[in-house]
Amino acid sequence: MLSGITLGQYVPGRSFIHRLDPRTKILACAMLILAVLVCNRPAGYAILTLGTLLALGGAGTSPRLVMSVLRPFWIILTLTLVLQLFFTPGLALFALGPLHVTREGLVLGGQILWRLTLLIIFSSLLTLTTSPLMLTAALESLLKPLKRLGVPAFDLAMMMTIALRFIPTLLQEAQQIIKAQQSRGAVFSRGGLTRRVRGLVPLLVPLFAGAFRRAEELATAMEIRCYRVGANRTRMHQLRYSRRDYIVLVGAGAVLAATFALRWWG
Amino acid sequence: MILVEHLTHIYAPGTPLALTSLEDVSLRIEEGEFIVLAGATGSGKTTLVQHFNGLLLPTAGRVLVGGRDTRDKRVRRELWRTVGLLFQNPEQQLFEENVFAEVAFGCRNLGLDEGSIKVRVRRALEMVGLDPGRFETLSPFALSQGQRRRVALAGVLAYRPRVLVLDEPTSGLDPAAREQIWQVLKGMQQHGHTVVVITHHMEDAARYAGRVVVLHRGKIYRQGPPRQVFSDPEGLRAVGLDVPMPNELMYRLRQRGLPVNTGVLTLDEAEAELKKLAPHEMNSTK
Amino acid sequence: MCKAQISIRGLTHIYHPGRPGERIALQDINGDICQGELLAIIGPNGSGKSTLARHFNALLLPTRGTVTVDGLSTTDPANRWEIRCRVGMVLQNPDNQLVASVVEEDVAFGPENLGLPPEEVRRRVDRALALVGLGEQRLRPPHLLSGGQKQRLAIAGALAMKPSCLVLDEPTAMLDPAGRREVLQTLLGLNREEGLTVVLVTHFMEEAVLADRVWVLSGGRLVLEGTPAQVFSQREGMQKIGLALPGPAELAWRLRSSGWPVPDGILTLDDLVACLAGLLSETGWGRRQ
Repeated sequence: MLSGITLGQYVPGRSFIHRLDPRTKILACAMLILAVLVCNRPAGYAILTLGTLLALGGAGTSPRLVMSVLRPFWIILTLTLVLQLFFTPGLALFALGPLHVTREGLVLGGQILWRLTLLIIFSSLLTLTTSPLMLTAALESLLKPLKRLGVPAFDLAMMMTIALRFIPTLLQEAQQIIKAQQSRGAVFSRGGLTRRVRGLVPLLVPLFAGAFRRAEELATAMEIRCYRVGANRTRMHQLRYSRRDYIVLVGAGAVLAATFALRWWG
Repeated sequence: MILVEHLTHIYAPGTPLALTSLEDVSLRIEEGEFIVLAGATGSGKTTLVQHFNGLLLPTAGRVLVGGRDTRDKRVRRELWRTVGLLFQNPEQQLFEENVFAEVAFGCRNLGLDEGSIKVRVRRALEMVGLDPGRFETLSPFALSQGQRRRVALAGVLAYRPRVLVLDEPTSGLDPAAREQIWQVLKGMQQHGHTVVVITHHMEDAARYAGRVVVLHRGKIYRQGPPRQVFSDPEGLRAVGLDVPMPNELMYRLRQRGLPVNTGVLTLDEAEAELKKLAPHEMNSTK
Repeated sequence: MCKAQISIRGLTHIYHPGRPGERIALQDINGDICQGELLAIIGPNGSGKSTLARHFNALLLPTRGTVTVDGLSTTDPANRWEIRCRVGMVLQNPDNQLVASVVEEDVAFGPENLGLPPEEVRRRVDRALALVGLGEQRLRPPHLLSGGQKQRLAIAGALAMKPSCLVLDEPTAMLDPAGRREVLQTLLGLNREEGLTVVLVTHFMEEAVLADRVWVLSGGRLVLEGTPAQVFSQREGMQKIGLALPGPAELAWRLRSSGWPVPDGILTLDDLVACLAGLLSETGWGRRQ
């Protein structure tokens, strides 16, 4: 059983964002991520935040779901903030023992925190609203022009499909093995480093053995259905852009352009 | 021994994937009982037994093992010693380089000394019908599926938990290997252990269980001695289960107006019942 | 009349020949699988059932001997893909053979591999899903299906290749009783109504009873074959290789051997109920004492 929303989980739905062409989502996501990376002005952040809110609204995502997506990252997020707060030189606002919280630290920490949050939200939105299969179909389609350069787009896409299909299965299996070994008294989270590393053996050996067994069986199952590496496949679903897609692409492009403009001419 | 009170369990509560797996289940398991848990896939059997050794905690309600609440962290940490849980396809969880080490793993975690570990491992291997002298040094990966399954079972027997809980211990095994596992479990019960088994094999359940508990969609649907639970084939089929063939036979003969006792569980009993009721001249020859 | 679809001649299969761990899995198997029949292959664990099944669509190749499908030899690499299209296969574990994360996409996987045009893929997918009764589920993710549904999905995936023969390797071993019934009903339907040849590898005797013919493997050899009635009349032979008769057949045998006039060929519970009810009401059942 899945305990909560795992990373990369797809939640089926019929929202505006769900119905976008997956290529649109990948391209828009890429543009927004680039925008987050170049953004350095408050106005830029405002635009990005607005964009994020629109996207979240368009996907019909509840604030609760957003929180559960962010939850696994909270240690990294807090740590970044704390490091920036204390270790950025500048005007001291107040002191905690020997450490000083600086104004610059607060600004920088806040910025980085916000950037990371936006990055996580954008990429999660992509996987939350796009079935792994659509995602790979889109990648395949986007990579097609590279085929002439010798990039095996079909096979790359197939690898992605399978990875995405089996990551949840393997996570589930890992959970299962952990439980099984705990039932025999194994302890995974106590003791010193060596003990902890040694403690992983009962998890890793069966996990790898299982993964290989699965891989073998899956390879057989694919062979049975005539999958051939390098052969030309067709797709049942042909991807088609609609008006919705153009609107989103133009919107994302505008956000990107705006952040660029703000950074260099603002 | 195990007391389940108004247990509700919800996976991923508060997310779009929230799933109620158990709903208000109450169950009392006495020391020394042999219980079979049955139910279609997704009925909550596996979720229920994971509460017995503290792997899962109730969303609501509580579970007491030997009178102690599993929500208590200190209780939970030691619970595996009392309640030995063997998962489905346990042979996939083996990891040591030889059978001895594999079976000894639980004992080592108990902190026993090498001498008594040796004794216990040998004893456990004998109980599952694997000759210690021959198997101890082999790699588990070199054994057949049935043998690996028994190694995994020995690994639990070796640390001698008072309660044994097994999730589909016979799935995928042929009749001979299945019988062997049931015999081991029966023996454990005779030595005073409490045994809880999840299985789809109703004929085996009929032969070994003291009580059958049927789960359906996270609730207890039926429970009682096998004779009583299996006397209603229609009801069990409706929740995706079978009844043992002898029961079904008697039930259907009865539907045809023949005055037979439907409470038979085994082929032997069915045979005896038919002979008892039939005219004498039919049993005369031979 | 048997029109052989798959012919097996002198088939021997050795794993790792000439290397440590060498093991003879199949030894000198001969037989024909007829067009349109339902053949059950039974045998204890390790008897070579799966190994044999994997020769029917060229997943494994004979060490000695030949296997031909509609006259095409599996050993000729040029025939391999044609054979895979004609002989569909379903494996034991439903979770490890589903490729895609949406039901209909998974069914489409095979036809897409054949490079068929999208409209044709669509047609085949819709038909295959209809045949196994999963039309309504076509947009759901497979992991939310029940075991029986997953296995029917795997069958649909094979059907979308338009095979004339379907080989199933213990497809019900991991299912609960309801799932097992579902899958068997589907298979019977495909065999009886669509005329599909079905080869069912199983260790459930009650499933073998439903077949037209049964092959019994033991230690890599084909030791018994015939109709279910013929095969299951060999009680001793079956016991010797560690197989039990189906419950109703066993009970019929016991009654017969203690002198009851129970006819041969009782295999299913229906047979037994009919026989006993008739027999006992005639002879004054219940009026004794």
